[in-house]
Amino acid sequence: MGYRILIVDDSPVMRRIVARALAAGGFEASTTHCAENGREALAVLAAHPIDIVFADINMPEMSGMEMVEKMAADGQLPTQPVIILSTERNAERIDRLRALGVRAYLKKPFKPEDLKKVVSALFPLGAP
Amino acid sequence: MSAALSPSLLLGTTSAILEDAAFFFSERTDTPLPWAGQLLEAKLSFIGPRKGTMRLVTTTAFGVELAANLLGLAPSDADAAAHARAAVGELLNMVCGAFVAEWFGADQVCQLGIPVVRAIPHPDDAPGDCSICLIADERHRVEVEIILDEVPRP
Repeated sequence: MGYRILIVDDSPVMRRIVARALAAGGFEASTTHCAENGREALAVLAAHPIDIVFADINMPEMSGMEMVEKMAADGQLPTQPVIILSTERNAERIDRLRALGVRAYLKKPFKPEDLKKVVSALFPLGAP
Repeated sequence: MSAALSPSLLLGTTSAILEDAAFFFSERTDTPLPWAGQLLEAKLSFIGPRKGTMRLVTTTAFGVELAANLLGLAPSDADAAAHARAAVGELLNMVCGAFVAEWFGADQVCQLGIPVVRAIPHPDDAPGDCSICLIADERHRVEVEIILDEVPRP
C-alpha cells in the first residue's frame, strides 16, 4: 500500500521533479495524480482520496494560495495534508499559509532529503 | 532587508540556483561564447516594490541538458529534449523567486507572473537595466537580465 499523491504545479518539469524526489526518498506511490492549477487540484480532490498534496503557489487560473484558502473555507485542511513547494519567499505569505493549515513549506529548489524529512514527519508510521 | 540592483546580485542568485537545482557550475564572463544553434528566450514578470521582467536567453542545447539534470535523464534521452523549454522556464522561475527576495527583501510582497518560453532566431540586443552573461559548465552561454517597467524618479 503506497501513498495517494496529488502534485499541483503548472510546470511539467517540477511535477516530475517532485515525483522523482519522493521515489528517491523511498515513498512508494500507489497513485499519483497531477494538476496544473488549483482549480484542477480541487476537482481531483473531490473525485479521489488523496493522502498528501504537494502544491506550488504561483499558477495560472487558480493559485496555490487561492486553492488553500478554498480548502480552509471548506474545512478540508485539518484532515488533508498540504505541503507547499514554491519560489515564494515572503514571510508574511508563508505565515498566512501556515495559519490556514498548510503543514509544511519548502522553497524551490528543494533537496530530496528535505522533502523526505517533511513527509516522514507527517507520516511517521508510513503510508496511511 | 533589501539590496541594490546589481550584476553581482544577479550573478549570485543565478549561479546558486544553477548549482543547487541542476548541478551546473557557472561563472560570469565578459567574453561570451558565440551563440550556436536554436535559442530559447524565457520571460517572467514581477510586481513588487519595483515592477519589471526577468529575461533569460540560452541555447536549446543548454535547455536539453538542464532538463536532463533536473529529471535525472541522459541528455540524449528524447524526454530531455521534450522538456527543454519547460526546464528553462522553471529555471527562470527559481532564479527570479530567489532574486526578488534578495533584492527587495523577504519582508516585501512580490508577485511573480508565469514564465513564458519561446524559441528565437537571435537575441534582442537591447540592453536591460541590469544584465549578466554566464558560462555554465564551460560550454553553455546563459544571459540573464532585468528590464524595469519604470524609470526611478531622481
